[in-house]
Amino acid sequence: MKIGIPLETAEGERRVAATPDTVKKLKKMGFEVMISAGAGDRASYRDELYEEVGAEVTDHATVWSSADLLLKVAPPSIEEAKAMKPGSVFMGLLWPAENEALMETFREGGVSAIAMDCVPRITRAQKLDARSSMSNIDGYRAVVEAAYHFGSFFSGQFTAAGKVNPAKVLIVGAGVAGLAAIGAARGLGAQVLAFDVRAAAREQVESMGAQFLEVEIEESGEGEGGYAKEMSERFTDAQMALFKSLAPDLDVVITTALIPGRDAPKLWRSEALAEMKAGSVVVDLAAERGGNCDATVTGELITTDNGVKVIGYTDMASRMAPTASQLYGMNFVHYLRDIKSGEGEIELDLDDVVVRSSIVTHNNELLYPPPPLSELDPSSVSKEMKSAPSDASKTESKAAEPAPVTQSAPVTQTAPPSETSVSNTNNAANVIGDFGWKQVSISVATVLWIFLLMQATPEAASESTRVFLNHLTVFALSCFIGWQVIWNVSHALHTPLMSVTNAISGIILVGGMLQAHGSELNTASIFGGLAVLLAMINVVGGFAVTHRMLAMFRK
Amino acid sequence: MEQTLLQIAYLVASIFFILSLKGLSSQESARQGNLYGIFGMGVAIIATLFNSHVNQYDTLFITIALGGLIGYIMAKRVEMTAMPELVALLHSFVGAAAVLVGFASDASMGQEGGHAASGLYASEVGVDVFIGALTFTGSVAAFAKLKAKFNFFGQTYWVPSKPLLLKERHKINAGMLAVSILLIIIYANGASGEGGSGNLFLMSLLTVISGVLGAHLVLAIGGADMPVVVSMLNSYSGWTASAAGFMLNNDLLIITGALVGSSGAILSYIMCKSMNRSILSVIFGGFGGDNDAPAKELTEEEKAELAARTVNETDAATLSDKLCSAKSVVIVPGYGLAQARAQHSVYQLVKILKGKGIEVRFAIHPVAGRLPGHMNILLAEAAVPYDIVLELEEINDDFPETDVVLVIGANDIVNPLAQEDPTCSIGGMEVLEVWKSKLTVVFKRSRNVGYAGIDNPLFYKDNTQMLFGDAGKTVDEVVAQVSAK
Repeated sequence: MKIGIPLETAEGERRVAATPDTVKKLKKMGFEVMISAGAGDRASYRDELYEEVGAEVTDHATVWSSADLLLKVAPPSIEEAKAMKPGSVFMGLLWPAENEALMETFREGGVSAIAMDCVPRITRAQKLDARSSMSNIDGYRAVVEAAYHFGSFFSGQFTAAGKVNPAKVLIVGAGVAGLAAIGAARGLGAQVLAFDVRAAAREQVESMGAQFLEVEIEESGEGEGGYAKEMSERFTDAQMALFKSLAPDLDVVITTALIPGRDAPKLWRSEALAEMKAGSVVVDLAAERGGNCDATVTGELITTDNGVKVIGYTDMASRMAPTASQLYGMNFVHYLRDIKSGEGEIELDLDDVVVRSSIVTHNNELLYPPPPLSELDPSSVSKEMKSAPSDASKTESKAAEPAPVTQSAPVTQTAPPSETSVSNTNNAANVIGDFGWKQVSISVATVLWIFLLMQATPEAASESTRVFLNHLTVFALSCFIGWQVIWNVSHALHTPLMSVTNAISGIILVGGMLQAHGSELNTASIFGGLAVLLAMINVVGGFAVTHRMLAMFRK
Repeated sequence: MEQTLLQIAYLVASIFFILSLKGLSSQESARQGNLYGIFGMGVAIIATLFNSHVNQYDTLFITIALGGLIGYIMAKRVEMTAMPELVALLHSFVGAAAVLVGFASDASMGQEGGHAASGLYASEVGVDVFIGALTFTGSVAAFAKLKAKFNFFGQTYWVPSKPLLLKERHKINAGMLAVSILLIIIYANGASGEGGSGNLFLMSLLTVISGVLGAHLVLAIGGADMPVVVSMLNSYSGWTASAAGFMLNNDLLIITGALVGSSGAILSYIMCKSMNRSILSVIFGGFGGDNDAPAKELTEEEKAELAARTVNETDAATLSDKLCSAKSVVIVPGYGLAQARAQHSVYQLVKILKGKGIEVRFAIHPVAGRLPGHMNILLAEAAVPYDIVLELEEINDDFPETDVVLVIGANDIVNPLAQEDPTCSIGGMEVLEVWKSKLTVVFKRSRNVGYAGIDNPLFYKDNTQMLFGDAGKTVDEVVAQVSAK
């Protein structure tokens, strides 16, 4: 398959859908890659670098018309989409709910379009979740922008000329972007407070070294899939009062709160803004969807009448184009690796929850909106899909960021309380996913087998048969333990492991010892004694050799 | 009461064995893991001594002390390069012990103080003897193949490393397996019912047949698969202990045997996967070997082409210049390093180069050497720190940025044919992509092909240079040259 990387034509878009590094990985997977001349320029990746790793640099029109698989950052223009050949695949950020005309163009043109912004937030899809990787950059960049416009140190300093207090930073919304902002602000030495309606966010906030703020009202703000939902009026009032009381002390406020399918909630209202000191900075990461702050002007930096700077940039990730491109490019690499069906070929399996959630058009059909996540089976995996690493469950919760998704996503507003339990069930499924369905099914099968054996044995089974079955149970369990314990042994230790297991298998000497009974030597005890002799060589030899070997390893 | 205490002691021993295996999974805890194993074994032995069934203490003390002494001396005296042989030999002892225990059970079956004769019990004895004998002769065969050279009364005998591939070997194996099963059934029948007893003759026959089967299985396996075979035998020795546990009604034996058996099986599986071979083909020896494409008749043209291929030779002086001007060096050790015992000289070289600010790392292929993890052991013996010893996946992407790669005594694991020609015998196996580096220098004793018996196009590449000679000596020369600079 031929992958095309077009030049980004949207205004202010500096990112590119592949970097030389990700192109190298794509080539390794067997894809051919072509790229528009100058596509990487604004992200500091020159054409020569792409050529070096084997990409074909060509003109913009050719990329659009001849690619089998097009990777892109921003949604394409209608003209660009029309240029794609039927049966080809498009992958990129599409925001399908807002770009209906574009979806229609894809559908008519027979293009299979995949919206990277619709990848579900489930554990195994983490590494291909473009929204998470971009939000992470947004959060970091928000702090950098704030620091640039803020007229003091972030960290407190004691200088010969006097003391400077540390900046006090409030982060509203502790999703991926919020947590990244906490990390960056802490790194600069600021004192950081954070607020989130989801109780689950507390632990993550505190683990990043920030103080978690609370409203004295019990209400869970968890919506489906870890997103936030809209809160009751009483709660909102209490929240506003809290913000207003904090505002005079704050130097920097970074708001990241978004609710799926709705305009950004107004959290930093005029009352709070009016309380802030002149020179303090508000960065509104929700600016694209109207902003969390009353004064936000989308895409611009303004200064309010009382001297507060309000930053409403919507291109934070694009401002760090080289890294944003690399991470976004890796999201593609991971996605393609999961749906790869052979050398340089992909297969779109609509039973795979990730593909089903993110695909918007396929075979001249509009597949958007996808069924809600809770109706899809999170365990369905495409054949290349490996279970996620075990630490993924930790990051899973971090990924729970309120971020813009879809207008028609059937969630929120009237979200019944039971939504919370839905997300819990998903988590449970993911935990098992981490452990490995294969292992679970094999152990279940083993237990069943033993059970059936017991059933098949007639009631009048002799004592010895029952004993045999008991032994069989012990045997099966031990095999399972051995299997679990050995699986992660590092290669360098294979020889010591083998010699230690070899020593341990000398346990057969117990068998020999049990033969040594009777008043005098008999056939059995002679055989037994010989067995003990041989096994003992094995035991001592094995342990001693292992000891010798291990003593040699050093760092 | 006494029985309960014994059970508890056995449980404790089992737990210590599990902890021991667990400990062996990382460098930091490995030594402790070994201690756990020793402790577990101690508990098991002492507890068994207190079993009221056991009363011939003099025999036991003598055999335990003697066996322990022999084992200790063997372990102290063995060269690290001879480790594969030792491990194989030790496996054979487990097999032999199991056979002996089986015979002892046969002798005491139905006698006073022995287990009552029954069909089930007899078949357990049969299975124990079968697996035990298989393990024993298999391990002895593996030992012989690994050692390759024996001196008897001044005469030297060589054991060929080539697989012994009889024409009808699969049928022969199947036949021997069928006969063994039949013998066990007859034996079990003889033991069941009133007045049933053991049958020494049948047991001996079974031992011989399964012994031949074990040796035949291992002899049919090619030398390159030896690491897998050794760990497979390790697994067999575990299953043997487990079978003995069934026979003797002893949970400790069952648990420990199963632990060892499954761990050996997993090791074999991991290695087979990294060689891209099916585990069946290794167990059943040369399985599928019949389907190998027959050696192509070379046309005159191809012969001429082959003859025209030349290697670039180099010498120690030139190489040391290159090394001193390099920024990054990777060393790929193979079995040849073990044979030449060059690991100490190599580390000497590494230390000198590091002193000059050059980055030096080792790249270890999963099946380098004749034992899983063989190279790691050798390098550890030479005190190479394990953080510069990297595995295939860790280092394979770095070769393009490497200035000089030293391939010391390795062949098949750096053969580009594995990627270029899927039909050759190592096709599809993951290899270290050394040819992507700026310069590869191959230390090689002769122009012979590797263990897998195929030619290596690496040697003829433009960016490859050959340094012929005994690896130990040539490395020493390079060390001398480099340190003089």
